[in-house]
Amino acid sequence: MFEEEKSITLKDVSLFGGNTKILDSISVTFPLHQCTVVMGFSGSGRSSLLKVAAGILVPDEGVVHVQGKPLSKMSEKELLTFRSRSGFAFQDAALWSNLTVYQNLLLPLQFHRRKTPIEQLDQKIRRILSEFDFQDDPQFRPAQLSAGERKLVSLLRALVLEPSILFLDEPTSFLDNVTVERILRALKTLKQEGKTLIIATHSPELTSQLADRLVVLKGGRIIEQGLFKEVVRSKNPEVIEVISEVLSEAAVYDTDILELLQDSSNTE
Amino acid sequence: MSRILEHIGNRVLMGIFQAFYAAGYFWEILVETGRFIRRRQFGYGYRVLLMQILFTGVEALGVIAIISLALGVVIIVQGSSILPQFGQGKLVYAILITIITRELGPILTAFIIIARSGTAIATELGNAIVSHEIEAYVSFGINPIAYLIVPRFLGVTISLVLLNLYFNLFGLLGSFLVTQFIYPLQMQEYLFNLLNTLKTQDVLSSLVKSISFGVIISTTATYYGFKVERSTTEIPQVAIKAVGRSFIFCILADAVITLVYYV
Repeated sequence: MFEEEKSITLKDVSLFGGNTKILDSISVTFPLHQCTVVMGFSGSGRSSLLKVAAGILVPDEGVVHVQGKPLSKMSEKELLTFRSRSGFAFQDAALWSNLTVYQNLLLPLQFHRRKTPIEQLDQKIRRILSEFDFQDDPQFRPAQLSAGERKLVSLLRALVLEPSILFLDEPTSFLDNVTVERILRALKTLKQEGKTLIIATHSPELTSQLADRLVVLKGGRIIEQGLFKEVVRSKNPEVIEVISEVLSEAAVYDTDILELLQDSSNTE
Repeated sequence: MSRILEHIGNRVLMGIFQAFYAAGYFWEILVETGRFIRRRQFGYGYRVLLMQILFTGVEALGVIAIISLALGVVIIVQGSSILPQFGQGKLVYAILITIITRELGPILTAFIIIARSGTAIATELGNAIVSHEIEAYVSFGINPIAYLIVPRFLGVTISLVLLNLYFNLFGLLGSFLVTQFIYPLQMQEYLFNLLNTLKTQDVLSSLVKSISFGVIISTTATYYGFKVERSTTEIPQVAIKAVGRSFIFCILADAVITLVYYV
């Protein structure tokens, strides 16, 4: 098991949406400096799990520990420090619609780097936009962008504070292959730098190339978690069903995972 | 019978819970407003505050001017033609002060702001929830109450006070100028009688009313805006509730303040 001081840990976490249990008694550990991929069918609770782990949603039951300290018991200052070193890219981008692309990136910087001169913040924004080859005018509002560009800006906004923990909810959906490649390269670099990546994704590319650990969700429950290579070799039929269906496109993009899955079925 | 009692009991308990929740929400706004004023937080909050004053205060000037002018003209013309017949010509000033300054100034500006800004605020916040923009603020540690609600709370309240002042200026002075074309009055006499009739109590009650209405409208609109949970179809519903409740609370507050000042 991982030390609590070096991980984000959820203990017996449940989350309700009306009378529905979105997350059902979930206990999971996201070790720091590793990449954990959360996988499951649509509606299995992946986004909610990420939001609870990031402290955006408060669970109805259970506790979230960040490096050994319960999120609910953190002081305002501790919580702000955690927020400043974590970034969250939303599945639906969740850009601030009344602000321009530039202002969407500036706001977190202005909030957390109040003493930094505006010229430096401006340079930082221009650099990150050019690194990811953002083509449109940064003065555009989110409504003027395509779905893919909105996703890209959401990712850039999550990266703008150079966080050490990144929560990415479907970071590559709606994006063209070139942009996906660019994001994949950036995430690989971040992983090499020792950042913590927690990713909910359907993408076989991201999973096979980044995941150290895999968490498999079904109906709001965790049915398997552990090292990536161990989980994909799981003999649990439910796990095989989820992974093979979620990664059904893997045959097109990447054969590693399917080979592993086939190995595990053959050895049954 | 027991099911009816159970239903009534549930409704009462829910009502009590919501009242406590709303009180807690209002308290949180007050705390964050204190911080906002004391600390001078980073510029974004001030930008939202200025935008709110621009939208609520400045953009409503035209409507307020037309209504207050028309109302003032009607009172002066009607009063000046009817009241002298009963030997009560000077009562027109008391009527002007009572209607424009004490009552209709604050409440009509409040109604206009409910219709314009109350709906806009509830709708904007509801949309922000559905599109997860509020969650995005939380993810960066930006308190939505401090950066979205407080500027709107202050903006609406400040605007209401200024618009009420504007309503009074137009209703009392502008209408006099318009009336000159129909029913000429002596300027000096008009101003002298008007200022003689106007008491500090009238100005204070008008001010207290507009501040209270501003607090009520902004709190109610933001409270209902935050009630949206997941669907865009909830947005018009909360906007209607925000408007309806704001009207009721403003009228009740108007009655209470009038009772406190004049009974």
